[in-house]
Amino acid sequence: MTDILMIGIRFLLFTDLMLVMGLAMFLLYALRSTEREDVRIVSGLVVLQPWLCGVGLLVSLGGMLALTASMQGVAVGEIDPNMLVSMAVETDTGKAWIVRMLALVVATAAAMQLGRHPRPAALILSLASASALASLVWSGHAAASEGPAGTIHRIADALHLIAAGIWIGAIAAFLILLRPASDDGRQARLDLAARSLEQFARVGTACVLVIAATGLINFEMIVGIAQTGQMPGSSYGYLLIAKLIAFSAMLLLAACNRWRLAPAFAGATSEKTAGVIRRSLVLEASAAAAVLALVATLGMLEP
Amino acid sequence: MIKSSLSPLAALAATALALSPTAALAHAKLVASTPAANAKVAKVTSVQLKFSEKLVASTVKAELVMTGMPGMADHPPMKIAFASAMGKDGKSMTLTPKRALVPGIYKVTWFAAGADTHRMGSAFAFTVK
Repeated sequence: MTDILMIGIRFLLFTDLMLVMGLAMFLLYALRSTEREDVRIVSGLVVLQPWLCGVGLLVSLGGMLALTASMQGVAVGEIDPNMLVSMAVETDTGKAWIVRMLALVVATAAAMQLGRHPRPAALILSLASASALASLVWSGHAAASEGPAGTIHRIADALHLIAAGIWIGAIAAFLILLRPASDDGRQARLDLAARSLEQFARVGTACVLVIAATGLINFEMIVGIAQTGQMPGSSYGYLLIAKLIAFSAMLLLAACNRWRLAPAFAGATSEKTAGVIRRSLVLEASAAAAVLALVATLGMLEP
Repeated sequence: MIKSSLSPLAALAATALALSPTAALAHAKLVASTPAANAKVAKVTSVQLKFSEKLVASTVKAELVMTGMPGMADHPPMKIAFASAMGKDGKSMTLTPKRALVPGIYKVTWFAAGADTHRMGSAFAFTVK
């Protein structure tokens, strides 16, 4: 029961913080400054940000209460403030939580300024949400590694989360730009989507390389490459294999977008080509959600 | 550009492989105790517990009960009051009853969470002659 609750909280936190960071960074690397100031283009990309930050704060608070209750062996209602203080003082997980909450407060403030000062607000929002996302490193296996190896494990894990967040945020951004809505900004959004989809090749490739390299480091730290043969014997092994399959599905769809659908869409920006690429992106987003659900579960399991 | 930005990552990976796993993913476990589990001992003025990992002090809960007396094997469990102190290293704990334990069978139960945030626990028994 506690585990299902914690898995749900981890899934929500990963998804939420990755979307905040990925969407904020998209404003920076994909949009020109004139586009960032065009409400018809950016409103869809920024309107959810304060809400996503608020959800992040609430879920993070709920996560800390649930974790404290499970560590103390009491019900959530029986938590007293001293228990929370001791979590914050005695555990790295608690310290990381404080950093996450502070980062999310900054992020919320920045998110509410996206309309007035697009570029600085997006920059602060990106940095604050990246810090919040990186702080999740202390809620998984990387928290338990000690010494220099532990530091490397945590750096690798943070980079893994950030690269995944950039990718997943971009999928969300493309879906928002391609959403079927017939207003006078439609054409401008489709043009931007066509251009940024083509440009995303470089950012996307870098994300995939970072994810693969840091994923290998995490695997070595948690399981050990030498133990790979024993993987199919445990539920951790099965779920990790399932995660790799879902990740491969994301890669295939991304490759299809990059080499087939995006060029076709850029060549003939129409409702039809937009529909095709939107369907592919929905599939990619579903695979991403599966990966995140598996990650949320894997962090709770023994390797 | 991608290649050059990835070289620190490669260095990171190389160091990670060199440092190798020994991943300390362990949950906190009881590794030793005095008196030891199932030991028969003469005089006990305190019970020491040694753990594999550093514990989060506020999560530690321990209980000492007497479950048997000479000539009365099915003694109803009787709680023994004690003062407890965590060791400086955070990995050990000493339970000190007010008086030396009278002959009988005792059971120690503990619960605690380590840095990995998992709440663990176990129990063991010993006999005072």
